[in-house]
Formats: sequence, C-alpha cells, structure tokens
Amino acid sequence: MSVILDVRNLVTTFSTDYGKVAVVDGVDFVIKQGETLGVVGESGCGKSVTSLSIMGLLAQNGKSEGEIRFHDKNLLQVSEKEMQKIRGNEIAMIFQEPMTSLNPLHPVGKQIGEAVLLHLKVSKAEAKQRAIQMLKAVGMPRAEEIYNEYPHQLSGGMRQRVMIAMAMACDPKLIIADEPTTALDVTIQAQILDLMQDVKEQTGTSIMLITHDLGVVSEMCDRVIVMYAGQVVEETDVETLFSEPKHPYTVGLMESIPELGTEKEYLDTIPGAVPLAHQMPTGCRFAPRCSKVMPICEQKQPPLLELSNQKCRCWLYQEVSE
Amino acid sequence: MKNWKLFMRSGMGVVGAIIILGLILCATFASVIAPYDPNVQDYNSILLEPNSEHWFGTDDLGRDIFSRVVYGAQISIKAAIVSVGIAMIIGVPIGLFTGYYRGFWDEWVVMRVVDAMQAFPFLILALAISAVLGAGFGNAMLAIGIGFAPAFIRITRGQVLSLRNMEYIHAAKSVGMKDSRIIFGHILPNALSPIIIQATLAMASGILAEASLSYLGLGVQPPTPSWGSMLNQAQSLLSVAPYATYYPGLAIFVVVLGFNLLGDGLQQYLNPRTRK
Amino acid sequence: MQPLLTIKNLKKYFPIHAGILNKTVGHVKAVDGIHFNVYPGETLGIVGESGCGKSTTGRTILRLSEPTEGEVLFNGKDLAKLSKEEMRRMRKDIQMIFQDPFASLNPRKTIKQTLMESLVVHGIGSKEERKKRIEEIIQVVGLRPEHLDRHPHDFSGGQRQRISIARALVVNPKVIIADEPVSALDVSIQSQILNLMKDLKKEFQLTMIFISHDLSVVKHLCDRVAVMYLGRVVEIADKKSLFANPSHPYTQALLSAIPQANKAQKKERILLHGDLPSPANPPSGCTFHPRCRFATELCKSTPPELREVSEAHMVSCHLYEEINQR
Repeated sequence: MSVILDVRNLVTTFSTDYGKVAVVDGVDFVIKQGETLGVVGESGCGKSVTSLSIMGLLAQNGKSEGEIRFHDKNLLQVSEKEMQKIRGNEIAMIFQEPMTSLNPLHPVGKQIGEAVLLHLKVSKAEAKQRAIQMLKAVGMPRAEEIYNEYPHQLSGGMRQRVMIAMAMACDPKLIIADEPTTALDVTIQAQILDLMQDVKEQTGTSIMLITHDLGVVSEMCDRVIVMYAGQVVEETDVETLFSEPKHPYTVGLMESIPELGTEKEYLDTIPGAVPLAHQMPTGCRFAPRCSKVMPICEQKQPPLLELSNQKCRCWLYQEVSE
Repeated sequence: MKNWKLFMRSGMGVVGAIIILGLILCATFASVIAPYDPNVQDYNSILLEPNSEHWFGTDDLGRDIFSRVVYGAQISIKAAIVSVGIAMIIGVPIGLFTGYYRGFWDEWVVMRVVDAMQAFPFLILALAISAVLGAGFGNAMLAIGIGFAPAFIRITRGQVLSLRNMEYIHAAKSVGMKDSRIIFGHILPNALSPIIIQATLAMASGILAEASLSYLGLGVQPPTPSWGSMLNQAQSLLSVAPYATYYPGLAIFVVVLGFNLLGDGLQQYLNPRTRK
Repeated sequence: MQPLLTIKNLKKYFPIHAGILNKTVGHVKAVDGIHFNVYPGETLGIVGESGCGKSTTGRTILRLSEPTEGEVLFNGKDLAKLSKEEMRRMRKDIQMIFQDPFASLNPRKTIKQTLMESLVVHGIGSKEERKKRIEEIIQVVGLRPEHLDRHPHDFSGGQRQRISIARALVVNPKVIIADEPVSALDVSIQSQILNLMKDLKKEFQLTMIFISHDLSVVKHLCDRVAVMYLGRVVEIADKKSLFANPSHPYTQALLSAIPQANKAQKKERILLHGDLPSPANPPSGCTFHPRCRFATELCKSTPPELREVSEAHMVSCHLYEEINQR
C-alpha cells in the first residue's frame, strides 16, 4: 500500500499571552492508501490542531514547522493558492458541528455544487447532477428536494450527511473527519458511521478519523495513534491497541470508560488533569498523572520507542526495544 | 494590576480618562485655579480680549471668562452625574424586573412606552419635559434623566433576557434563592458592564443636553456659570466679542469627547469578545 | 417500600408562537404524560436521545419550568400545586446538578460565596456552623479548603463539576437531580466524577435521578433505568433486567448502536432509519412506529400503555409478546 500522507516532526506553535506555545510538538505519522487512521485523545491533546495544520487552516497566531508530505508536495511549503486547489479537492474535511460549517444562507445542494464547480471542470448543470448524485449516495431520501433546502431545515444527522456528501463530491484522496459524530445521538451516530464505512469501501479513500471515543475507533479504524499533550504516545494497529495497550495513558483511558459488557464497582481513573500547554513537565508529559512513574520519567522525555507490534513513548519499555 | 494594564492598552480610552480626570480636578479646585470670582462684575474691564490678566478675556459684565469656564466644570459634572443617576435609578430597576418577569407589563406597557419615548429625538423630549416642569437646574436634570431612562431600560432588559437563561441562574433558582436575591445578587452584577458603558456615553450626552437646555434658558439660571448659558449670553455679542463663545464651546467639545473616548475604551476593556 | 417521589401523568408543553399577534399555533410536547416512582436510596437513570424530554422532565420536577399538567408527589405533597414561596423552601430537599460546569457557576462569585449562599437562603446554621459545613463539604467532593476563595475560572471542568456537586450537597437534600453531569467532561475526568458520585451515593444514601444520554454511564451508576422517547417513557426496569432483556424495540436499537471498544462483545447492530420526529407533531399511535421494524397497523393507530411484563419491568409496546418470546 502506498503512503499518501506522511507527517514528519510536525510542530505547531501559537503565540499567546504566555509567549510561544507548542500545541503539537513533534508528531510523526503516515496514512496509507485506503486505510482509516484513528487519532485519539482528550481535549487539548493537539489532535484537532494537527488536522488544521494539515489543511493549512490555522488561526492567524499559529505556525507549523516540520514536513507534511502529500504525494510529492510538502504542504507546509506550497503557496496558499495551491493549497486552495488541494483543500476540498484532494483533501476534504468533515467537522464536528455541521450547523456551523454549512453556510446558512445557501441551499445545501448549491453548496455541494459549488465545491464541485470550484475543483472539477464541469458545467453548472453537471455540477448540480453531481450534487444530487452525492446526496443520494449518502442515503438522503428525496435528494432532488433536499438540494434546494437550507441547513436549518435539516436535522443534525442529515446535515452531517450533507457534509459527507460535500467532502466526497470531488473524490478526495484523503478525508479528515474531526469528531464527525460527537454532536450526534447514538442511533444517528450509528447511521453516520455505517455510511462512512460504505463510502470508504466504495471509493477506497483514506480517512483520518479524529475522535475521543474508543468505541468509534474500534469500529472504524485500521490503525490508531494516541495523542497526549501534543505528542504521539502510542501508535499501533487497532487489534493490538485493544488487546495489548502499552502506554500507561492508553491503558488508563481504556480502564476509565464504563462499558456495557463489563461490571465494575469503581472505574479506574487517571488522577489530575492534562497539563497546560505553557506549563509542560520537563520529563515525560504524562509522568505527573502516571501510576507507574519512575525517577527517569521526571527527568527525561522518552522517545517514541519501536516495539514489536507498536510504537510507544514510555521508559517502561526501553529494555524491550533495545 | 492586570486589569489596569488591559485598560491602558485601550489607548484612546486612557486619553478620555485623563480628560475627565482634568475636568474633575478643575471642578474640585475651582476656587484655587480660578483667578477671579466668576460672578463679580468689574465695570472697568468690560469685553476685554484675551490678555495676560484675563486669559480668556471678559464678558459684557466684566466677568473673567476663564474663571467662569473653570467654575462651569462644576455644573457640567453635576449635570453628568445627576442626570445619568436619575436615568439609572428609573431605568435599571425597570429593566431588571421587566426582563426577569416578562409578561404583559413588559411587552405591552413598559416596552411600548419605551418605544414611544425613543421615537422622539432625545433633545426634543428633554425640552418638552423641561418646559412642562419649568426652568431651573433641578428640573432640567429630571427632564434629561427621564429622557435617558428608556435607553437604560432597554440595555438592562436586554442583558437580563440573555442572563436569565444562563445555567447559573437556573442553578441559583434550584438552590432555592428568592427572586430578589437572584435579580440583585446574580443578574445585576453580571449585567453591569454594558450599563456602565452606557452610563459613560450618556454622561457625554447629559453634559451636552444640560448645555443645550441652559443655552435655551431652561437650565441653569444666571448668574451661575454654566457653559451652555455662557454660550447663550455670548451669542448676542458674537459680532463684538467672538472670543467669548470660543472657550465655553471648546470646553463642551473636549469634555464630551473625553466621555465618549472613555466609553469606547471601557467598551473594549469590558467586552470579553474584544478583550483578547 | 414507599416511593419518595412519585411522578404522575407529568406533561410539559411549550407553546409555539407565530404571526404578528404571537398567537399560539401549536405545542411542543416535550414531556407527554409520564409516570414513575423514585424510591429512597436508589438512583433512577433517565436515558434517551436529544429531544426526548429527559432534561425537561428533571427541570419540570423542580419547577424550573412549570409543569403543564400532572402531579409530582414528594413526601405526600404535590410539588406542582405548591405556591412559589413554598416551592422555594422545598428546593432545600431537592437539588440539581447541571450539565455544563462552565455555565452553571456564577463567574463573579468565589466558591465560598456560592456555597455559603445556598446555606444562607435556607437559613441553615450559624455563621460559624456554615463555615464549618462548607469546609467539610469541599473536602467531601475532593477539593481543599484553600480552594474556597477562588473563582470558577481558576478551575478545570472536572473541578468545577465537583463544586457543582458540593453546592447541591451542602444543604443536605433528600433528592438530587443530576442532568448530564459528566457529558461535558473528558473521558479520564468523567471517570473521576462518576466514582465520586458513587461514593457520595453510598456515604449519604442519596436518592438520585440521573439524566444522561449515555447508556454505559447509566448502567455504571444507576439501580433502575427509564428509557424515554419523544416525551414518553417506553421502558422502565431494574438495571439488570433492562440490560439483560431490553424489551422495547427502541431500547434494543439504542443498546446496539453504542460503539463498543471491546470487539468480543460486539453484537448485531439494529440500524434505526430516519430521524427523530418533531415533538411538535409526534406520529399517531405509538410514537416510535415510523422507525420501528416491527410496526403493525395497531401501532399506527393506538398508543400503547406502559405495562408490567415481568417483575419490576415495564414496557410500552403492543408487540412485547411477539417480539420477545420467540
């Protein structure tokens, strides 16, 4: 399988009241053709900023360094004009809140058509056809009518379907989905996940799925990276992640979720809270909350170690890897 | 300290604050600053042009214009505080209660009266009320205060309407607080910043309105020095002594500008959206 | 056992206004005739998706919004009929924990002021006793007395939710209504708060109504569970019974829709088609019938009653026997 996105040593900093703060700090990963990569972590771990860095959509005070290879280009070095050609065409994005990411003043069909017109060489009539075809493809009933409806006339689940239709309209190579089902109810979430799975199977597009929900990861992803405090702490395939999670944070995360199938009197917890971006610990960033902390953890940052089935940023596994 | 720095960042607001501080100092220490008694008539020096003895010149009764402008600051400050104070005493409670309880009184009585009052240009309204009440500083203040009240009702009510649905207000209610405690203890403090901004801006208009009413003879009565009445008297001498209109006019301009700048500055500083 | 709280035929309709004259043109039937009991010392979970009326139910019990119809019996008194002042006093016994810890604390008050106020409005204790009580309660929820002088913005989401819990507990209520208390929190913080609530439940024998959209959380914390759909309770049962034998087709679909991290436990997913109908214009008969895979003509015409199908297990479905006894 060929690699379509290769992120190397990505560092994204924001200038804030506290000076320059690295929200993403040295992230490496690849996404291969046709695979779904899950990016898991809690709020503030840098998962959303990573995706915005790839799309070149950072706020004014943000800046990325490192390398983001997409095909043969480094996205951090292409011009804004070139980036516009890639955005929505080769890399599309699905956001968490479909209400705010659709323009309330235009019919949804027209918004899909516009994306098509922008990137593909087609006539207006063809663009409309394409939009209706996409709406049908995402399972919208009465696609012709919905073409003319406005976002506020649709339910949350329908709006998310429209977002997916829009993202797919130009046959992107990569779809970045940032918490696409977090704002939805479980039964609607099930519909949308099902739809995304179908889309992937039909078009063979790669998906980068950002989520905090390990259940969603388990259902959707092939490989997973777990992020904590701006860094990747574990990277592995989805089976290994659930059968032998290695990093204490990953383990803690899994143990702290109540599950339908298991009965526990108390949940395991991770004490404390995520460190603030301008007050990162000097050693391992998870050390202050870690139950297996050792002296070295507080002094030196562990590298992302290569283990047999996974990569893990933890001193516990140092000997194993050597 | 951090708040102070944030305010300093607002630039023009600081200029406004300095102007107003100057005005207050002027009013407080008028007797020290003014070289002459503002009301003493000196028939040996009538209508003198500005000179080293009379910096701003003298008027047709031989009174020192500089001293009168300095003492005029007292009236202006009084006008600003009293008129806006009256407006707030009327407007804020009405806004709080109508916004919190809604219903018939809010929608069909208070808001309709407010609409009707705001349909008139403010000065015409103040003039009409003032004409009914009769001339004099107190009545002028009452007239201006009543004229301003609708603006305070509206802005307070607007704040309350959005705050009453905040979860911490529901929480206060669910804890078992009385309405009065919720309104004055929880809603009012959170509604205060826009009201303060409105008050600062209204003070500028208050000074202007007092000057206008005094100019028309409905406000401060002679011989008390007020910038508006000074303009009124100087107007008849415009061809002989134009300088007599310059200084009270300039004083009004600078002070109104000062309050407006301060209002804008506070707006930037207090509004969380522009705070960053 | 005598129930502590009995909800009878509770309804909450929100009028829909339209036109220049603001005429009422219809009603959103947020809660449409629900019945349930809450027994002393138990935690009753109310689950359902957005718009099912679960939060409105909580707020209507406490009369944060006035019920349209029905009774809320607490210790034999109908809360819906109390005067405003009587209700205000009654709130000492029924407290609420809100969803968003960033919105539910007054940003201008210190934690001490917030907690103190709860005691003051109910005239509890002398000044010294209040102070002692506050210092005690702040430690019960896992914070320290020195936190008392800070403002809400000095705290993280999880800590704020602890403060919200302290505010509810400080007056020693008999019932706590918790409206999605952990859904705004990150996973690792969520588990801290859930454990805290479990502790408090044991320590104070709290009676609680726990409103949530998350079945796994409800299962972890609650003793009995009511499932709501479009303003009605479709199933109510013992936790064990409900999760072992979900009997209403909606409950079954809801359970199967939850993505499971553990692949071994994965079961066949029942995909519901279509969206939630509008509560302003609910379907005839059983409100779930347009999305139900078993629906018959009877379901379209006649609304089913909530009936007991086994001990402590009630379901509102015409087809219970056919669906569940195959």
